[in-house]
Formats: sequence, structure tokens, C-alpha cells
Amino acid sequence: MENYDPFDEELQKLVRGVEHEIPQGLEAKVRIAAETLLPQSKSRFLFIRRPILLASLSATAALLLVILFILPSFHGREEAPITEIRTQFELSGKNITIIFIQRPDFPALETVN
Amino acid sequence: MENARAVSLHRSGITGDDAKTREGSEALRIDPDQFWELAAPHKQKLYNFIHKSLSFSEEADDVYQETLLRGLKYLRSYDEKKSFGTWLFAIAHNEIKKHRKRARQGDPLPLAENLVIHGEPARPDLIWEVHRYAQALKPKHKEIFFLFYDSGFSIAEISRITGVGDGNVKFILNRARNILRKLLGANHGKL
Repeated sequence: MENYDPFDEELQKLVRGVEHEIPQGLEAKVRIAAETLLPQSKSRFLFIRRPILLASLSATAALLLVILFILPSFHGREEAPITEIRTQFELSGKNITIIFIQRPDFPALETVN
Repeated sequence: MENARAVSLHRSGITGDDAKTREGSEALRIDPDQFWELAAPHKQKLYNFIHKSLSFSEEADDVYQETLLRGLKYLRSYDEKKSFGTWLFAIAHNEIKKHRKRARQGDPLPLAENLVIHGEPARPDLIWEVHRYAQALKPKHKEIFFLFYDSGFSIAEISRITGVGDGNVKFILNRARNILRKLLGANHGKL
């Protein structure tokens, strides 16, 4: 109290003159009730959180798949490099086929017109 | 994970077992198991406050139990920087209010005639007189009266607990003091 009044001390003694001890039975009752309350709140918490967690995981997976499928289309299709050139001749009447295979390590073919 | 986080304790910089010291520490992270430890120094005061505010009704035990269970349930809402006692008594104040709403519909709360007078006071008749006066107060005034004279809270703390402004708390206490002074015919030190 900002304005101290000595009468307050006397009143305090009188008010505190009536006192009830907490019964042992009540203490035990509260403890038991608390023990049943805590697991409930935990399980309720998990019950609420688990679907949220699962939903967010599946949403992330779906998003990743969409990105993987869509991303290449933005880049455009790159032309495959030519690794070899095949030139095939068939000799008529002799049942012979001649195949020239040109690869990058082959010497360049000269075309003669 | 969330539960594990709540259970984990960070008590850096805290020494000693005094719960009051720990209450003020900013480094403290409380968990439900610690609730009982923090509540221990306040339980007896809390029990008496609830009993006196509810006119020693038998249902006060239920309100006491509900207060502690609520405190335990909503421990996360407790701000460690503030007093645990004030927080706990604010819950008690709400529980008392709820109980009164329920009780209003039924029979009025009985005024116990068997007050247990603590120790061997010089003037038990004065104790009776004070309690008879307090029981006749309006519910909110009664709570403020007991929070100050029984639980020993300051005006600022009572204001936080009850939501009543400082000025109003002072006014209620002043009026009670003046009435009781006349009623008891008391001068300081002559009780």
C-alpha cells in the first residue's frame, strides 16, 4: 500500500486468523486429475498436428513432382548431337550392301561431286 | 517434437531452489512437471483465498482443483518474466467468477459457521467480526479485500489479477478499512 496504515497490519492478522489447511485427500485428488489431464492434452495435440504434418508432406511431394515435370518444358528441347553418319550402298545384282559409318574420330569425308 | 521442446529445461544462470528466484528469471523455460514446484509456495495462500472468497463453501475445493488444473493446462500462456503467483491467482479469480455464475442459478452460497481460527488469537471475536464484514461484501470487493489482507498482494498485483484499476482497488480497500476501523472501534495497536 502506498499510504501505509498501521491498521492494515492489524487487519491482516485478523483476516489471516482464519486458516484452512489443504486436505491431504484433495492434494491427491488434484494430482490424479492432473495426471489424467496431461496425457489427454498431449494426445489431443498430436491428434491435431499429425494430419497437418501429413498433409504438408504430401503437398510438398506433389509440388516437387509438378516442378520436375514442368521445368524441362521451360528450357526447350535441345537437339541431340550427331554422333555418327551412316551412308549405305547396295550393289545391284550382287546382294552386297556397303555401309560407311562416319564418327567424330574418323577423318572427315570429302565429298566429290 | 513440440512436447519435447516444452519438456526441455534451460536453466542457465539460475542457482538455488527458491522458486521465487526462478520465477523472475528470463532464462527459465518451464514445463508441466515444474508447475507443481512453482505452485507449491502459493498453494496454501491460494486455497485460503478461494475458500474465503467463496464464503468457506464446500465447493471451494472444486474451484481450487479447477484452478490448478487450468494452470497446468494453460502453462504455455504463462509469461516467465511475470510473477507466477499473480498469474495463478488470476486463474483463481476467473474460476471464482465462473463458479459464482453457476451458483447464482441455484441456491446462494452458504456462509460457514465453523470458521477455523488459526492459532490462539488474543481476540477471536474481532476475527469473527472482520470475516462477517468481509462475507457481506460484493463478490469482487471481497476478492480484493482478501487478496490484499490475506494473500498479501500489492495494489498493482491485485489490479493485474482482477482487472480492476489501481484507483478502484485503493478506493475499495480504503472504504473497507474505514468501515472496519469504526466497526471494531479500533485504534492502531489496541486490537
